[in-house]
Amino acid sequence: MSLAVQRLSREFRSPVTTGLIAGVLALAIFGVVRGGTFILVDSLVTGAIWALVAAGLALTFGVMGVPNFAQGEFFMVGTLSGYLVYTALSGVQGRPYVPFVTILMALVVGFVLGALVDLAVFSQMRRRIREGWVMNTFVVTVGISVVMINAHQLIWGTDYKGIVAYFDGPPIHVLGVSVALDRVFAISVAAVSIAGLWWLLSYSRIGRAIRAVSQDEPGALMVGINVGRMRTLTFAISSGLAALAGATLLFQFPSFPFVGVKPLYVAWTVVILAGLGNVGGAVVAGFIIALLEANTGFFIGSAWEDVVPFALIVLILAVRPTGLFGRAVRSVWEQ
Amino acid sequence: MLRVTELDAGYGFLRVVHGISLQVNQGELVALLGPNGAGKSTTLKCIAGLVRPWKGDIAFRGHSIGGLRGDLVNGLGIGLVSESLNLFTGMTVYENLLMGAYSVPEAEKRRRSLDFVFSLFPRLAERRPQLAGTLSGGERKMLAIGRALMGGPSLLLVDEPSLGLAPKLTQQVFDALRKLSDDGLTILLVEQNVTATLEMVDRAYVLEQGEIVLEGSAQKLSESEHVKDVYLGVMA
Ligand SMILES: Nc1ncnc2c1ncn2[C@@H]1O[C@H](COP(=O)(O)OP(=O)(O)OP(=O)(O)O)[C@@H](O)[C@H]1O
Ligand SMILES: [Mg+2]
Repeated sequence: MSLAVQRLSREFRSPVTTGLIAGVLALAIFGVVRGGTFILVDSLVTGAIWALVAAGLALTFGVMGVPNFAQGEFFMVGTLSGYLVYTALSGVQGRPYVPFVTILMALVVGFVLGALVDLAVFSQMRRRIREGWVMNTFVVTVGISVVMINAHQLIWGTDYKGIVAYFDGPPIHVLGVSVALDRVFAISVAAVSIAGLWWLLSYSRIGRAIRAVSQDEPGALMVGINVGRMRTLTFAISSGLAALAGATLLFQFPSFPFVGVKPLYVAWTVVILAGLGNVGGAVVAGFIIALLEANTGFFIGSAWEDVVPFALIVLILAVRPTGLFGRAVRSVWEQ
Repeated sequence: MLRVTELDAGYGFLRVVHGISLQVNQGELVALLGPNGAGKSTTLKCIAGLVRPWKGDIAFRGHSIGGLRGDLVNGLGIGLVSESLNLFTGMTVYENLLMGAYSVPEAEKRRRSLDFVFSLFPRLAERRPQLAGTLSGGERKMLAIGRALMGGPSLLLVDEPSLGLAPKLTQQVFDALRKLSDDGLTILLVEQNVTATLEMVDRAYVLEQGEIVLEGSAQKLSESEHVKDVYLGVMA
């Protein structure tokens, strides 16, 4: 536990970081006071999901050095598998376990597909490429994204494949706002997944090995870690998380070929804001972005939702090029 | 225990190790000496599976391990303390040591190794919750040796432990290596600190520009004209 405290205190060493966090808190309070508590609830739900997608992105970059521009398509795969599984289970819909089975299946599909993509593409590239790894893999992930989008279009068409809601019970009331059960579901799933990821990376043998690879590759080999397998696992986890997020938000993002574009851009914004490769920072930054979006949407207009966060990020990066929590590129958790 | 035969290795088009052969027997403490750029680290990396040999054979306990991946070589019982240490700087001392025992499944064995490392370097026990990246140079070196020992190796490869250390600390690290060797561990040590090394080891090889130019017992080498001239700065 002391380790977590140590990490946290390091995050807040910089006055810019502390100032920004204070600013965000102020914004949250302002939004709640002027707009209503629903802004806070809204930001918590979307923030949790952005955090999930962005955490995977940060992990992939920190461990593998791959700037994954296909992450949105794994979100898309999540929405698609969620839709297919959910409609296939139409006979037993209404049973409380169905949404859980659905998102678990999406998680598994994303995980397996991620593992296959790493084995088929990045593992092969690793054997051959010595220089320009980041640039080369960047181009390749864009290619993977195009292939996945077109495969979706070819096989399932371009129409929206969505659901109204996983749960049809009455909304619950929190802080004077009524929150649909699906949103409660989404935030719970995200919270459990993020906590699970945090535990995995901090305390499990495999998680330590993943961090070891991100901190020192030859060092990892020297202590007997199968570095290639850890990379495959990392990509699979990250893809699995994105797919899980997609399936969980199916009520809000019906599946269609380009559904991954928005999550991809948001996740990249989050990761750049947090500092490339920093998983813990990505989670915090996910909430910051969601809060900005919700406030912008309410006070300025929903057309500006994407503009304001991006503009702010340009500003922040001008002051702190390594991102909010970044000391330097590469490394999961710490540097 | 370890037998390297006619090893060729290099980077890109550049060959830096030219057909060297060397041997380390069970329980021996053997040094590989030589000037900067001679290819000492490259040789160790080849043995440890971090650099792929071009030609020649590396045999460990009679089995060929040339070209085997580093993690598998480690699994066979070869520990490496590299020149740059390759510590996990964002992890604590304790976590680094734990990672050293990554391929040791028995918790009891890991605990005993940990006690042993802490008794060898009490300093590490004091620094247990500290991040490896914030350790002093000497402490880092101890941690790297400790991490390699956590895997319970039967052969330890150590690359220039004296690099960047004050004479007093160097002596401490050398004493620790000597003690490990006395307890039966087989060690191949790369060094440039020739005087202190020859006082400690059983045998040594001298590597120059990728070739072995001299080999023999520590005593024989200390008396050799070449070593005196080039490495000990004694006018013959
Ligand atoms: N990764 C690499 N890529 C290209 N050349 C390398 C690499 N590593 C080492 N070399 C070259 O190989 C030669 C031998 O290097 P090596 O590190 O084995 O020498 P060394 O005997 O360990 O020297 P030192 O005592 O300075 O550590 C040097 O000329 C070095 O420049
Ligand atoms: Mg060297």
